[in-house]
Amino acid sequence: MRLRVDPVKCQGYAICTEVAARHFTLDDWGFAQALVVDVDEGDVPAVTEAVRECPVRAIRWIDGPATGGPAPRPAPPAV
Amino acid sequence: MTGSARREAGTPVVAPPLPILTTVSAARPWAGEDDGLLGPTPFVREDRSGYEARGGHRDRVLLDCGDDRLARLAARPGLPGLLGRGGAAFPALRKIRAVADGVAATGLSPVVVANGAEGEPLSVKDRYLLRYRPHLVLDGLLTVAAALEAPIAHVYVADRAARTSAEAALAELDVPAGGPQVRVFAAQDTYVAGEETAVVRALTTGIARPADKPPRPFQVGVGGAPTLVLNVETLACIARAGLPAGRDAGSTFLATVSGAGRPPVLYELPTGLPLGDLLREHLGRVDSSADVLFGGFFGGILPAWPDLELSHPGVLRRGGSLGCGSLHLLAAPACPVRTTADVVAYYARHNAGQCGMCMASSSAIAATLAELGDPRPGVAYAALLPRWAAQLRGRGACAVPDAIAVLLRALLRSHPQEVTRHLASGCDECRRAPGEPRWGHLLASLPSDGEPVTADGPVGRVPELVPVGVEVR
Ligand code: SF4
Ligand code: SF4
Repeated sequence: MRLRVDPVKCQGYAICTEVAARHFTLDDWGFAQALVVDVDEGDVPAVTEAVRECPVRAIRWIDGPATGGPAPRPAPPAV
Repeated sequence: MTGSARREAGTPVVAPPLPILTTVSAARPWAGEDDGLLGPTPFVREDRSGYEARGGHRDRVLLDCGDDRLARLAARPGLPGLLGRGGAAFPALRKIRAVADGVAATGLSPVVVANGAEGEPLSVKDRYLLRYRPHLVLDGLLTVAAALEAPIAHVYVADRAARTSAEAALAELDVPAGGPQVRVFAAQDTYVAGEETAVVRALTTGIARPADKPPRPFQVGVGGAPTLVLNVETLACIARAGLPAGRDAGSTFLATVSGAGRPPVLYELPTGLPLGDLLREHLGRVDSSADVLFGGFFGGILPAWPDLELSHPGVLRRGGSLGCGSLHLLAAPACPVRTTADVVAYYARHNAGQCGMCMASSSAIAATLAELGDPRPGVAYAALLPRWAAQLRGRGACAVPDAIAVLLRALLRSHPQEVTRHLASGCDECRRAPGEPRWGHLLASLPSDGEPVTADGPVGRVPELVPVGVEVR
C-alpha cells in the first residue's frame, strides 16, 4: 500500500504529522511530505487515521505500481 | 497587450515588459542523410504534396488493415528504443502499450494527442515542427491513432502560428471517412500547459493546469478515456521511421542551442553526440570553461564537459537532464549561481499557482538564491540548499518542484567552489542581476510568421512571444 500527499490539496494543517508522526513530516514551508511511501501492514491503522483526519482529504492510498504498466483502474480516490 | 489577444477568455492577464528577444534564425542538420526532423528546406513550410513526394502519409495504411497493429508499429526501425521528446524521456512504445492495456481493461475508446505546447522558453523545436513540418507530425499522430484504433485525435498547440499551420495541414489532408476525427485545440500559453495532466485537463475542462498523479493519462485521460499524450517531436520521430528513406526513430534529436552571445540555432543532432563536437560547430572552439543550462529550464547547469554524451542517459549520468533537448551556453565568466537564481525566479513567477508547497518553496528558494550576491550573516545556506533539493523531489502535481531540485543539486554537485565563494564573499554578478524579469536573457524564439523579429524589434508586434510575458494566474 503506497501513500501520496496531493500537493494541490494539502494546506499544511499538520494534522497528519500529529496522528502519524512516523509517516508524515512538514517541509520547511509547512506542507506535508510522506516520509514512508510503502507502508507496512502494521502501520496501516495509524496512517488510515491520518487519511481520515486530513481536513482537505489530501492524503491518498495508491495501489499498484507508480510508473510503467497501468495500475488497475484507480479506485475512486480512497478518501 | 499581445497577451490578451491570444488568451482564451476567462483568465486575467498581466503582461510584464517583454525582455530582449533572441530569434532562432538558422537550422542545421548535422548528419543530413535523410530529411530528418528539420526537413528538406529548413524554415520553409512543407505542404502535403511535398511530404507525400517523400513517401509520407503512406505507411500507416498498413497499420489500418493489420491484425496486430501495435506489433507493426513496434517493428518500425528504432521505435522500441525511442524516448519521449517532451522532457520526461519516457519510452514512447511503453506509453503506447500502456494505453492499449488501458483500453483492454476498461473497454473505453482511447484518445490520442499531439502535444505541441512548448512551454520551455529556451526551446523552439516543437513550434518549429508544427509550423514547418506539420505533415510529419500529423502522420505520426494518425499512425498512433491507427495503431490504437483511436476515434479521436487532438493537436494541442499553444501559439497562433502553430495553430494556423496545423489547421491548414488538416484541411490539406482531408482525413478519410473511417479515420479518426482530428481537432486542433488552442491551449493557454503557459509554462505548465504542456504537462501531460494539464493537457488532459485542458481538453476535458478547458483549464490547462496539472493534476496530481496517479491516475496518469494512460489510465484516466480526456473525458475519462485512456489517453496517449505524445510530444510532437516524438510523433515526428515515429512518422520518420515509417518513411522510405527514414532512419531509426531515435537517431537524431532537435536541439535549440542558445547563449554565449551568439544567435540561437536549431540543430538536428545525432543522439549521443559528444558536447565538444557541438561546441566546436557552434562556437568554433571547445570552451570547457563554459557551463550549459540543459533541457530548457529543467535540466540543471553543468560544466561543458567535451565528452558529455548528448542523450538522455548521457546527461543523466552527469547529474542533469536533457529534458526537451535545448542547451543554453553560459560562457565564462557567467555565474552559475546567478543563472540558477534567474531560473528559479522564473518558476516562482510561472508555476501554476495551485500547489501550496510549490508556490511557497519556489518563492522562498528564489529569494534565497537572489541574496547570495550578498549573503546575510547567520543563515545556514550551505545546509539549506541540499535540504531543499531533497525536500522537493517528487512532491508537486507537475515537475516544477523537481526542476528546482535538479537545479539545486546540479549547482551543488558541479559548482561547489562557486557556492562556497558566494557564501564567503558574495558575488558582483549576482549583486548586479536585474529585478524581474531577471530571467529575461534566457529566451529563444522563432521569427514570427512573415515578420522577422530582431533583438531590437517592436515587441508589441510579436504575438508568439507571449509564453514568457504572461502571468499564469
Ligand atoms: S493533514 Fe492534510 S492538509 Fe494537513 S498537512 Fe497533512 S496532508 Fe496537508
Ligand atoms: S507543482 Fe507547481 S507548477 Fe506544478 S501544478 Fe503544482 S503549483 Fe503548478
